[in-house]
Amino acid sequence: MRRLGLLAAAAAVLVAGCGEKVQTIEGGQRKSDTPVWQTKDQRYLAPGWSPGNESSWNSQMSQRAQGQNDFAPRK
Amino acid sequence: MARMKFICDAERCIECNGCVTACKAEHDVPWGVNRRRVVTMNDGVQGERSISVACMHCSDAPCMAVCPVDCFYRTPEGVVLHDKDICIGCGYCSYACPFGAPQFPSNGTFGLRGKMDKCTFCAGGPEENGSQAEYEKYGRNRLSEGKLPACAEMCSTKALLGGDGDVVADIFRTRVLNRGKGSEVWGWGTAYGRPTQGTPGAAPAGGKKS
Repeated sequence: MRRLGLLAAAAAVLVAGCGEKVQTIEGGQRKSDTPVWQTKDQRYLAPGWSPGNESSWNSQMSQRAQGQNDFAPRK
Repeated sequence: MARMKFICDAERCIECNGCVTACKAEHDVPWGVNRRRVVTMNDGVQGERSISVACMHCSDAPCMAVCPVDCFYRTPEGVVLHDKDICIGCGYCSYACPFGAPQFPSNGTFGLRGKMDKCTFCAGGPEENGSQAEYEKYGRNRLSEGKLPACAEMCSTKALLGGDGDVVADIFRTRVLNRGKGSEVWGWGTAYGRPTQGTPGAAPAGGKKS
């Protein structure tokens, strides 16, 4: 029983660092950003445009900005 | 290609701080850090005016120019972002910025200055768009979701406009024209004086003649 406990403790010590996140900087250089019209998480996408399509994103931005315009013609 | 900008309409801002709250909530901004704040001029005096201020995503950003570790970059949409993995939290950017945009969270018991945090125009950072790593460091990436910044979209009086500079400038211009005003409410002449108010280089009256 005592041996089993020791083994469990040793195993816990061995895997203690596995939950740590990597904190190193790759080469100390700034990372390059991905284009804004591409996203990994598609759960919160606004409707009416196609992710990954630049022109679709541009027109979505223009259309969305018109939501701030009180004087925009009503459809 | 869109060039993202903010404009705050001082005639409409009612100092409700809705933009500040929207920003805080959207990005889980820590206590003591204000990516956006409302500034009031002549507070309590009749005719007081308020504007909402954050990073203005300058075309020639001074923060970018002074950063000793070159952690800033500008996206093709004109949004000024930074890489927190490179930032050393020196604070040079906060001295350079005329808007007080760079913020520094205090960490631990002794309040050590952390890495710089600022408005991202809801565009996240260099991590993969929409990833957990991006959210933890920079907050939500609304632009990649096809949305505009939360502060502008939540503004109840639509005082704060955000989006493509050409589009928001058109919206603002239309408003001003509807108020019965014209180009006299903005521009170089309004900010720095019109040529009729004094000719540059003219010798003062009674001055020495050469």
